Amino acid sequence: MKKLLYIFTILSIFFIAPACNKKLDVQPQNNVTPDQIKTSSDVEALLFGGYELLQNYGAFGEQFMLVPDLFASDDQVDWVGTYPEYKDIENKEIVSTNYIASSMWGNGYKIINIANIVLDKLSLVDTADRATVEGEAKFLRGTILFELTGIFGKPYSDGNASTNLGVPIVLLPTYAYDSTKNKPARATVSAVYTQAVTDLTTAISLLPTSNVNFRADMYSAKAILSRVYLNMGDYKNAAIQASDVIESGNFKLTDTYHNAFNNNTNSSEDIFAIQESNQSNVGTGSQGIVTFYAPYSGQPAGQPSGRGDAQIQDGYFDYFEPSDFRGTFITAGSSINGTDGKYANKWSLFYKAIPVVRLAEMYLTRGEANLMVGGAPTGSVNPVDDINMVRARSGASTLLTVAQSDFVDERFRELGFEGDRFWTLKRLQMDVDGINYDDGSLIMPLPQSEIDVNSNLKQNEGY
Amino acid sequence: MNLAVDRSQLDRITDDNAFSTPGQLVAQLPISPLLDPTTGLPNSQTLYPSGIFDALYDFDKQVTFRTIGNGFANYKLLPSLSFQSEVGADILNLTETEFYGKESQDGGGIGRGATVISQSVSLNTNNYFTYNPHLGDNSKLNVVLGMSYLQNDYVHTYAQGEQYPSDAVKNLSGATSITGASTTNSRYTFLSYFLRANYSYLGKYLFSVSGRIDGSSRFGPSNRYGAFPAASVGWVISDEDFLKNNSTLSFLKLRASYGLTGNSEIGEQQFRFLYSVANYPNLPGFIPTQLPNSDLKWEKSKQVDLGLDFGFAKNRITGEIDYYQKHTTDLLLNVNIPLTTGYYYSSTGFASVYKNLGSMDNSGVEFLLNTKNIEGAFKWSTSFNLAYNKNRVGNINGQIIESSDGLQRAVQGYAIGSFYMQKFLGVDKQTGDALYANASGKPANQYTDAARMVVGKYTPDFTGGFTNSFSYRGFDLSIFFYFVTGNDVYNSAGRFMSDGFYNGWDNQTVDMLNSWKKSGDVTNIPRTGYYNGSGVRNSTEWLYKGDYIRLKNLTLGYTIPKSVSSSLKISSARFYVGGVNLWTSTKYPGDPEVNTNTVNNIAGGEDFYTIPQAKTITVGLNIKF
Repeated sequence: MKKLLYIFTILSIFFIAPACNKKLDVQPQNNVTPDQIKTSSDVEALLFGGYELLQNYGAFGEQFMLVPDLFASDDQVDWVGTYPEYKDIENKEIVSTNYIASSMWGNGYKIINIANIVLDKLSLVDTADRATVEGEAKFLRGTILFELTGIFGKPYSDGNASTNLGVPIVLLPTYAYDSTKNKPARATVSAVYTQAVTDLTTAISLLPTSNVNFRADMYSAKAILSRVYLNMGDYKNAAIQASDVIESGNFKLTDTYHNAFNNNTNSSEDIFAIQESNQSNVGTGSQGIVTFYAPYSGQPAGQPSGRGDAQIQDGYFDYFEPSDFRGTFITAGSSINGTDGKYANKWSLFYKAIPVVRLAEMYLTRGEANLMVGGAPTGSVNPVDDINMVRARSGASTLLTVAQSDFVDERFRELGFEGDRFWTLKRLQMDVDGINYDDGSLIMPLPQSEIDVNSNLKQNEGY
Repeated sequence: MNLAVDRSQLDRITDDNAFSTPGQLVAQLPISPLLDPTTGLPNSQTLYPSGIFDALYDFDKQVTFRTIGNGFANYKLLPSLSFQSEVGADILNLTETEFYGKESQDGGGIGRGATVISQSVSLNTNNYFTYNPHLGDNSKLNVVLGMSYLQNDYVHTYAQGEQYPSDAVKNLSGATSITGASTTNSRYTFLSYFLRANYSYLGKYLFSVSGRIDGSSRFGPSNRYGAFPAASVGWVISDEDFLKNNSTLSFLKLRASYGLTGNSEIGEQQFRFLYSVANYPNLPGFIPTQLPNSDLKWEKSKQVDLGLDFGFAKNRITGEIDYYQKHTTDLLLNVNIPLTTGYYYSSTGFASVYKNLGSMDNSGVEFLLNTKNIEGAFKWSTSFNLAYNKNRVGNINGQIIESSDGLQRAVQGYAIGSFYMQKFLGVDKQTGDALYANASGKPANQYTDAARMVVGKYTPDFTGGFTNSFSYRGFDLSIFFYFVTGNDVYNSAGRFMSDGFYNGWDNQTVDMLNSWKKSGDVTNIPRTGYYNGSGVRNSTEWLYKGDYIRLKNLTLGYTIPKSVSSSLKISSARFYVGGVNLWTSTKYPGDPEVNTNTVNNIAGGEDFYTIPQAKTITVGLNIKF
């Protein structure tokens, strides 16, 4: 009897084993699976993931500003640091394996894919929030397409936008890899601009006039759209969009130039800015705009040291009159490899909001665009008054008359190290360090790894 | 039942790519003094932040506790049939404390710290029947049928902070700003059923067949199980009558086996579509991070082995020769896909998805020889082993599988993890430019015109060891050499330490003195210049032969005679002096035993300021009571 009991126990141990089969079904504990995206707030969470990627160093956390500023120009910013990939950009000797190309391209398309997933799942979003969510997704996609085509393609201004290659336009989400479908070719520069205009225009029609938690609102989209039109040479529309932002009354120039930067959240003149905190930020060690622009020694007490790899050059100071505070918003310090130099205070504190587009730019855009269109100015403010609005805040003298070149110089002063100079030079067909604005060396290569896996992509000339 | 507990402590240094690692001290200017002559403290005016400060003010301490326990119960159902049930546990607890003082570069002027607590718990059980029927004196049969289950749970918790008021409090209670904290959990499980039968006839004809079905949580529901049969035969020839009393040949056995094995080493949850959590301020979110492959399944290898075991002269000379051929299919590889899919992974720079792809062949010979050269009061024995392996990647459908730095790849027809980069052809004697092979093999002055190609591999052809042991009276001496040939080593730091100051004022390797200086110079070192030299990018200029032979271990000992030890009331005492890595011969300019940037089997053999293997000398006394 006892023996039978033993045998029964053994057999039950052995044959219960198939129940272990269920044990092979292990759910992820740190990640979310597609069946867990089912409510309105789940889809909104995906949208918020898009903001996290905007903060990434591949986008507005660093490279969308630093890379254009290294391209243009040597007499403004000098890379003294140890990352040769950045120095190569300054030297216009980039190779296609440069990882910065991968991070901007890769992170950019990651944002575009999130936007496409959000748009695909809009039906899950509560009707009350649906327009806003759709608008924000299109804001993200339009903004990234515009940035990427400017960095990886020829400028719109060269007259061949309808044949020059921009970047691939991806409008559908990718949920599984299909080697026949997921190898997009590059669209033309004008096709990318058209898509950016469509996305941003749609976003404007859907977004509220203000949004919570510094999410994009209607004016964020209008401000970026004014940039798009300005780069297309469509001054009339650039003026209209910039003027709408100014006239909204939602924004106000900060009392001093200094106060426009290093704020915990948006300043009164931030139309759209990246938020950071000590737990959510672009990085302090080897990436991030402050990491590279803030000195290694020479930081304010209690502030983490930067690397000090990007130093401000004398060419920048040449733009300023002595009374102009902007020319002194600079600190002496030294880099991590012991090179003494000057540093932009704009990017001196970690964990602060990073302005993407400020009201000051809108004044400069509207003024220049109105000047170029001529006649009665959009917004009924004369171009000279727009430029003086920006100048007065920083103690610069009042201009009595104004030409386009004044706006150009004013942008170099006001928007220095915010990535604008490269775009301004290219849209106005001005040389960069003696190199023709349309030259291939002023364009990032497509990542070599991308060319390797997508035979439909054509590399930029010279790479 | 048995239980073992083990505690170990590791004092870590930072990874190779940090100024704080001692390996990067070589980048400092050779003229900068170690100590500041005015203060007597370490020099803070070095070119780069000095790792000396990190050595003084930082630490990273890991303490690991490992507990292994197992128990079993055996029940005899019949005289020839028994059932055994085993349970086991392996528990690994790790706590790590990191502290970076204000004075060091990693401390960033404000002090930083972190703590990590992780636990890995493996539970396993084996339950099997064993059947040993009595088949007479000449035949032996052993059959095992059973199942096993393994479950591993891993939890990793970390927190990090900064803004320490001083260096006095070094754990996180001194951090006034917590900058990150997280917990991650993962589990894997394996469920197996197995059947194995061994049969021997007259003790000299050996047969074995086995089959197992393994299930793994690493694959999707329809592909979890793999079936892996195997069979082997053995023949102890020396037991045959015609050799039985042979005075020269004392042992000879021929072995052959054929079997299928599986591999599932890809980490967890690779077959699913996954979103991860994003922490943008006030907007908690999700980011799609992994594309699915629900077809993912076991990688399979078919292996044939032929072996010969032998012994001569009453087994004073023994050895083994093995030949194997292994054909692997459905390789589990992380395949690059376009970034435009939206799955850029910042730590590799690629978008990728795991696939079962293509095939790979390994074949090789292993040889082992043990000899007792001299016996008696003076003893000398030798052990020599040599292994040759040839690895070739089969058809992988043109897919790209590469290391994150893009310098190593799986390429059809070559060894896996081949170096894939621009080929350096020397220096243009007119201009001093580095010359690279273009797509047609012709020299090109422009790096952008250079073609990437397979130029070497990190896996060796031959590896081997050679040990000689001597003893005489109380003295013993053991000398162990290890050698490797046929591999290449890439110095990734070449573009900093051998770039002729292109990337800054880093200390340079001595060969830079031979750089091209004027038209007509014939040299292999291109022209140099601060930010305008040539030959400054990854190429075979810094790829070296990795062959080496190394005296891995040498130990000399003396055991005091029994008479002395017994008078001292101890059972034995041995004095010894040992050395590790005392001598190395290699053409590689650094330490050839490197492993920076090792990823699966695709990447290896790269040096980036890697700390050389330590040369250690130990003196000891071993007393047994």
